[in-house]
Order: sequence, then structure tokens, then C-alpha cells
Amino acid sequence: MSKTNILEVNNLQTHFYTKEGIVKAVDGVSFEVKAGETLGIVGESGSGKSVTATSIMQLLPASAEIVAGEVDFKGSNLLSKSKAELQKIRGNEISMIFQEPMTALNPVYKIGNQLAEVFQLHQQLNKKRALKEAKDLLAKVGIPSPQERLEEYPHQLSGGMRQRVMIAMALAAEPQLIIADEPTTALDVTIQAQILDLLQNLQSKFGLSLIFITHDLGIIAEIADRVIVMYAGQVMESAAVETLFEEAKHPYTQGLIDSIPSLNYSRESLVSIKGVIPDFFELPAGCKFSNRCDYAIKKCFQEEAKLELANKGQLLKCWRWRELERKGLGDGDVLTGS
Amino acid sequence: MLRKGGIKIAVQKKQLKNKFFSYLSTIDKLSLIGLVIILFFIIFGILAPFLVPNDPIEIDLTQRFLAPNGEFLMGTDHLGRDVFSRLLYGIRTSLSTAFLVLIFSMVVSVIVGTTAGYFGGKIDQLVIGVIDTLLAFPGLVLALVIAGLLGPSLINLMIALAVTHWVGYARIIRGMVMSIKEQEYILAARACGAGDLHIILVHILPNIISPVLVLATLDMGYIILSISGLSFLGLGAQPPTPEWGVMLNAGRPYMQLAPWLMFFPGMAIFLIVLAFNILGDGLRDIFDPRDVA
Repeated sequence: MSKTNILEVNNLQTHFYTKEGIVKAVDGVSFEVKAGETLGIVGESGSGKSVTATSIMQLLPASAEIVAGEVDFKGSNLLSKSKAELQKIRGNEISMIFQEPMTALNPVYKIGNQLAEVFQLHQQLNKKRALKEAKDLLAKVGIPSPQERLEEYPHQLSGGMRQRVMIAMALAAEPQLIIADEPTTALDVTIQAQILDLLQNLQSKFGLSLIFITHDLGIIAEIADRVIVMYAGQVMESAAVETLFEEAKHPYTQGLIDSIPSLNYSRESLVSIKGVIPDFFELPAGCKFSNRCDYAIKKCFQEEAKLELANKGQLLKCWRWRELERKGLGDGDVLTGS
Repeated sequence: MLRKGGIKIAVQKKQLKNKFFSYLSTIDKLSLIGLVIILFFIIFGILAPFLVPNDPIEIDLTQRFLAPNGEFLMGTDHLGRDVFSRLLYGIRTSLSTAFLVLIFSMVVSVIVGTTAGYFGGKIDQLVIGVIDTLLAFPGLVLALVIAGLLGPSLINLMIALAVTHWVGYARIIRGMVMSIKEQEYILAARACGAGDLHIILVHILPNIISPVLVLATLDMGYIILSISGLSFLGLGAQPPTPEWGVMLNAGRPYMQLAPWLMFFPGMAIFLIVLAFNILGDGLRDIFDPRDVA
């Protein structure tokens, strides 16, 4: 607890206004990121991970609005900043890496120009200096023959290369916090490993804080220090990464961990959490996960639990975590039904 | 050392030349012909004062209705003026007028279209309302009304055409901007701290330039046709200005007697419009390789 918090998100609520009604995509999310640490955010598709990220950056689409909460970055609330102030922070102090390296680079510009743009925006360098910096940066993210790459267009690079360019762009202004929104999802596994290594190296080199969003628990185990597990726009469980994998207490987290294919023993088929994430207009009244939970009791359907602090700084949003901890979770037959 | 440097430059020049030719070879032969025709017209238009054998507006009633011959390549009209000279000067009128109309339409539609497409909301609704209203009228009829109200002159004709013409572009540009602004690289640029103006100028406009260029080329023919058409109806260039539409109109009563009066200006209009159309088609194939069969 000696390290200071670089980012504190308190009770963030982002709603989408659609024709069908209001979608609470982020519903009271709180977390903090310490200087130099990696926070992993996991959850299924549609659990609000990306919206949380774009809410921090305030890059939401027009139909979305942050209705409540605070995003304190280095002690000042980003939500009360003006557009111009935000533009100075974006890319400069907080930057973002996107999921699709294929579409996140402008096809009409050479790599060099796009990278140089960040230097020109934030450091007022002239074109020549900016290009030189861009070249050095490409070398830092492990792109061979950077000078030639500067002259190439995005379509001439492979997916992995492009993601490296995206990382270079995010690093360009030497930010303190990088939000990586599924940066390896579109890449194949060997490239994934390379990109993760790269991110970790750069993180220790520059002392960055990282928010890493993914649905892949394997990646979380590799890269994160702390993890928050999101479901239907809410934090279900939050813990240090070791604690999470050893003593996950929330049934949802447990379900996610059980769904990881294992090499050790063969199963007939892949294990999965039953059902899919429900439509946002048909969420259960009580615990949002109750209709998919093996351990749900009557109370779960009626009332929502609050985030409670368990030992080792673990936070849980579940009525039954104490019981489940005592009886041992994982063998569904002990407590099935109710 | 010096020699070496010279060789290097020569090699670079050769590469550049090869690059140019390889680029030319990607244009199909037909549109290359279109390009050549247009260039010919432009050169003749620019050099018209030096090329014309006779004064295009000087009247010589002793030499009326002369058939094409050695002195008057395309004959003379009912006032004894040299058709060839008038035709050459007509290039200047048609091309420069059409070009100005095009530039004006482009500037207005790019500004209006990108603003509406990028910012959306109320601005967009307003712009779309105006565009839809204007599009509800047939363009040429509206131009006819405006030119009629303002009085017949070339300037008024240009205003009339430009006022009706930017609408179509604005709508297309708005659509393109709307689809481009949803691209992830725009989000990425915003995440890098780029402002709205920067995003529009640096990230959106370069992406719409090539389709707009194709559109403009294809449209150039249509504008030339409109100018000649309205001038033919007496709403544009006024006699004795050498203008193809005016020439056609002036030659019309004598069609039987002196067919060359209508044939040559008609051919000129036909050729230049055709040239712009096939060039536009060729450009579209280059910029949008998906359409190539």
C-alpha cells in the first residue's frame, strides 16, 4: 500500500440511451490503479470492460453518457475537465491501445507520419525531429529496420507489426498510464506472447501503469498484478492475481476459471458457464448473475449484494461467498440448486 | 566522386520516370485517350489568342456562310465570323466557367458535408433538410429559374449552376464522412489527443479525396453540358461571346444551309464531355480497384 494511486475510479456509471431504453453499460464501477502496476479487467463480451475504458478516456459514442462517478487521475477529476484539457491529457498522460490493429491505423498515411503526428501534437516537434523520434520508437518496440517501416503504409505490415506500431503510438508521448483494450485478441498466439512480453518490458522500463482489458484469463495470469472481474457492468470480484487464481470465491469468477481449457486432463468437451450474458433489458432484479449461477438462492434473485471486503484485499459481490468459502466451491454437487 | 553523384541522380531520374510510366500504364487505354483529348482542349484554349487565324467577333458581312476551306477551316457563320476562331475561344469560356462552378461547388460541399457528417445532431438535420429540399427540384430547372431571375449573363449562369450543384456532393461527402468517423483509427487519433479540426483535416479529408475527385471529373462533363445547354436557351453567355451553346443557337436557323455552324460546336461539346466521362471512369477504376472486373 506504499505506492500511490495514479488512477481512482469511483462509482462510475455510464449509460447508453437507445430507442429501447437506457442501457447501464457501466453500473457503479470503482477501482484504483497504483503507479507501475498492471490492473487486469476480465469479463465476457458485453460486460462493460471496453465502455469502462472509453469512459475513463471520455471517448464514448454520442449515444452514451457518464451519469455519475469520478475518475481521479493524479488527484484531479477527469470528468470535470474541459475538452481542451482532455486533449492534452489524451495520448500525453493516458493513452490507449486498441483491439483491432487492422483498423486502428489510418490507411492513407505512412507509418512514420502517423507516429510523428503524436510528437507533433504533444511536443511541438518539427516534422524531421518527429520522424527521427518515431524511428527510435519503432526500434524500441522491436520492429526490425525501422527506417524502412516509416515509409510503409499500414496495409504493408502484418497484424503483429501493426500492433507494435499501435503500442509505439501509445508510448510516444511517454504517458503514465496506458489502457490496453484487448490488444492481443486479434493476434495469433505466438504473436500474443511477443506483444505481452513487449508490454511487460516497456512497462518496467518506463514505470508505466497499465490497465489491461481482456476476456482471456491466461493473459491476465501472465501480465496482471491485480484483477477485477466484471459482469453486466458491475465489478463482481476484485483481487490480487494470485489470490484470484488460487481462491476465487465468486461463482462467476470460478466459472470463468473452470472454462479455461486444461492440458492436464482431458474432458469430453469444453466447460462453459451455462447461458449467455443476458440482454441488458432483461437483467435479473437481484444479483445480475443470479440467473446463470449454480448457487443462487432466493435472496440472490431479489436483492443485489454489496461489494464486501474479504481477506487479502479481495472484494466480492455475492451473498453466499462466506458459505461457499467454507464448503469449498467448485464441486457443484455440494450446493447445487437450492 | 562527381561522376558517381551524377550517375546516382541519373538512376534516380530513371526510376522516377519508370514510376511515372508504370503509373500511367495502370490507367486503361480508353481513359488515357480521354486525358489526351482534355489536355488538347486545354492547350488550345490557353493558346487560343496565338492560334486563331481571325478575330472571333469581327463581323465581315461579305464573307457570310462560307463552307470550310483553306482560310476558314470550319467555315464562317451568318455574320461572316470565323467558326474555328470562335470555337477555340469557346474552349476558354466553357472550361473556365465549368471549372469555377466545380471549384465553388466542391468548396461549399466539402465544408458543409464534413461539418454535417462529423458533428451530426442538429447541424446535420438542418443541412439534410436544406439538401433534401434542393434535391427535390430538378437541378437544371432550378438553375433555369435562378438564371432567369438574375438575368441572362455568364456570371449569373455560374451562380445558378453552383447553387444547385453543391447539394449532391454535400450529400455524398456527408455520407462518406459519417462512415469514416466511425472507423477505429479516428478513435485512435482522438485517444492520442487530436482535436476535431485536426481529425477532420488530417484524418478524414484525405480519405474522401479520391472518390470526390472521381465524382468531380465525371461531373465536369455534365456541367459543361449544362452551361452550353442554358447558353443555347439564351440564359448564359450572350452574343457575341464565343460560346458553344450560343454558337449552336445562332446556327440553328441555318442548319439546312450551313450545317457546319452546328456540326463543329456540337462535336466540340460532344468530345469534351465524352473525354471527361471516360477519364472519370478510368480514375474510378484506379481509386477503387474493387470495381475492376
